[in-house]
Amino acid sequence: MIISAYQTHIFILIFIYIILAVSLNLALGYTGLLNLGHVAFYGIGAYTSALLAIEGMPYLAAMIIAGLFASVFGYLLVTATDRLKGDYLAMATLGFSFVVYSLLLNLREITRGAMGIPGIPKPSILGLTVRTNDQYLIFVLLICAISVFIMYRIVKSPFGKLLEANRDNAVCLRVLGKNTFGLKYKAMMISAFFAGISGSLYAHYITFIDPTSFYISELILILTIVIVGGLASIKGSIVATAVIIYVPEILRTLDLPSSVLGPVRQALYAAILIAILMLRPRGIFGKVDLE
Amino acid sequence: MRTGKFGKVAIVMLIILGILFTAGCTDTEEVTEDTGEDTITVGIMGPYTGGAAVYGNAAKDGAMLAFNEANLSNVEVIVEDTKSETKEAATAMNKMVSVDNVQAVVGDLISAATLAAAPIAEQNQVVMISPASTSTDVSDAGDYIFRTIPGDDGQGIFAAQTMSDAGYTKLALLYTNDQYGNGLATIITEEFTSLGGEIVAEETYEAGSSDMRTQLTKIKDANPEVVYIVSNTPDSSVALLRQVTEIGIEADIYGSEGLKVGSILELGDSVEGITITSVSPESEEFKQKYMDEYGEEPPAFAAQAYDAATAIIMAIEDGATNGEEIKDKLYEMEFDGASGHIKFDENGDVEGGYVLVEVQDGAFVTLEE
Repeated sequence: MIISAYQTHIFILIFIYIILAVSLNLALGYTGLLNLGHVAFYGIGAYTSALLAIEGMPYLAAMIIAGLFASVFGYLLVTATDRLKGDYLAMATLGFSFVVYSLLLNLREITRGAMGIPGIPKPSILGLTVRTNDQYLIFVLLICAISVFIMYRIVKSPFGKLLEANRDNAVCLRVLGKNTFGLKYKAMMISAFFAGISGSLYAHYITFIDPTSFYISELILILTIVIVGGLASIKGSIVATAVIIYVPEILRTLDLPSSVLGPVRQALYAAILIAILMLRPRGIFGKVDLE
Repeated sequence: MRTGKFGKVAIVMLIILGILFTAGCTDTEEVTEDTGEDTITVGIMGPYTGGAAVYGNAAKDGAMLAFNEANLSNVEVIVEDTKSETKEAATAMNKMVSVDNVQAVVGDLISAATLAAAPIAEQNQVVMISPASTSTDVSDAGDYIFRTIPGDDGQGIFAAQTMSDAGYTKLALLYTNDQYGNGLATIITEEFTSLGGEIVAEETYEAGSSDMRTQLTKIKDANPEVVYIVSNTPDSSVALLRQVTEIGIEADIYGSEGLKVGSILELGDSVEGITITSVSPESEEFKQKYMDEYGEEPPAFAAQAYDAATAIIMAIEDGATNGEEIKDKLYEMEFDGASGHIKFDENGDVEGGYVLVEVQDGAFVTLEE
């Protein structure tokens, strides 16, 4: 392999987060749903897939079911927040993140609660086990490419244009006789499905998950990616993921005493993000503002 | 349009820069492999930013104390921050293994972070010694995974036996809903019931919260003879004990070492007679050394980190040059460290010692064991 194991690891994380960020952008950027519950779908996917695989289910099946299961929660979330818009939707979906976190923590018979789940098996597809990180990188790249391609086709399709129309002017769209509620359901379910898939990829890569892996700090990370990359821009989300995951790693190599390196790294990272948003307030490739 | 182009160019350059940067590091790795057969790199990882930073820095200081003291010319020490996040721990471990080519690591502290990094260490034959992860899962994490702090099972069994020996049969548990609290509570429940006792109430609270009145009221209604409290933040400990008096729980109070913080003594008479199970205190010698170096009493886990570093140093002094050899030496060694007697069993765990600490006349008094 031409790149080191460390770089392989970073690239694997980048590809996992690309799926996660692009799927959030589908709901947040394209459909205009201010969804702060995305991290919950990610967690649900990770737990579902991990638990099913430990029970002996083949990996691909576990991954698809993880996506579908997250999708079901996407449906439920829209059902519960149907009439909310903007900030109110944000609050309600943030609440959803808390509830799922609390469930993961307290449904101890199923999730082992705060103890987390160690020893999640590496994926095995048609008898071939993905053992090394290099193999995992190829596998993740493949899934990432397929997922992003599907989402790209969706946003470029007439259906995708309807989603954008719903974001820009829902009333107008309703006057034209379109079912805007139906659009919201579909968008959220697709978005949740891919979040579940990326959760599954994460769980089987790290092989250990616990509820804190799917909480506020992750939520902030993926929101940052989408906002820095620009709303309603798949390209933006991909570039931003690479930048946001890579920059802290570059900062690791700063030649500073260990006592200040940690905080300095965080401060510089924040400064870089602020600089990007000052230069490009709508994000790197952003075209729209969210009301 | 011009800024748009500028932005794109800047981003592309940033990424290329990043790749070059890390690629540069790979080059240096090869150089050290070729020329520096003598240099052994040892890593220290832990949370130096974020919620658990206090513990992380204490452990780092403790470990550095050992490395500075030993002053081995062929050992290079590097430090990585893991922010108490599992993903960061995996990244830090990957980086140390493949870029810095470490052979042994002191860390991580949080059990979840240790468990996330452990498979990577195991696969690359790198020794990992945690100074603070007490989860029982760490025992099974692999051959290369050690720790210098006894697992939850040790303290849990000790606590259950102590309470059983004192003649209690009805126990109520109140613990933080995190890895530490759950781990300890599970072991105590198993051991106490097998000794013929009964758990009459079991309540949890979120780590860091300060209102446990609901849980305490339920505990009071269950009418236990003794309450065992697991707390790991000073604020929660004080709030908890104050509310125990407020609600009027008559039962005797036992607790884990999280209760052993100076601020609870300010509660006066109401905390008199509280019994705390705690890992054996650090040696006076270590305490003095730490104070000379850093000007304060060693916080929790400093002594354990010092011992973890000492174990690695001893293995290297004994001629070990890579992770596999260090691992083999660790299983053989035995020494009296700052935190007690260190001898790793087949799971890489230490037995550790425990003491009972009682609040008497407004001070913590260690009872003879």
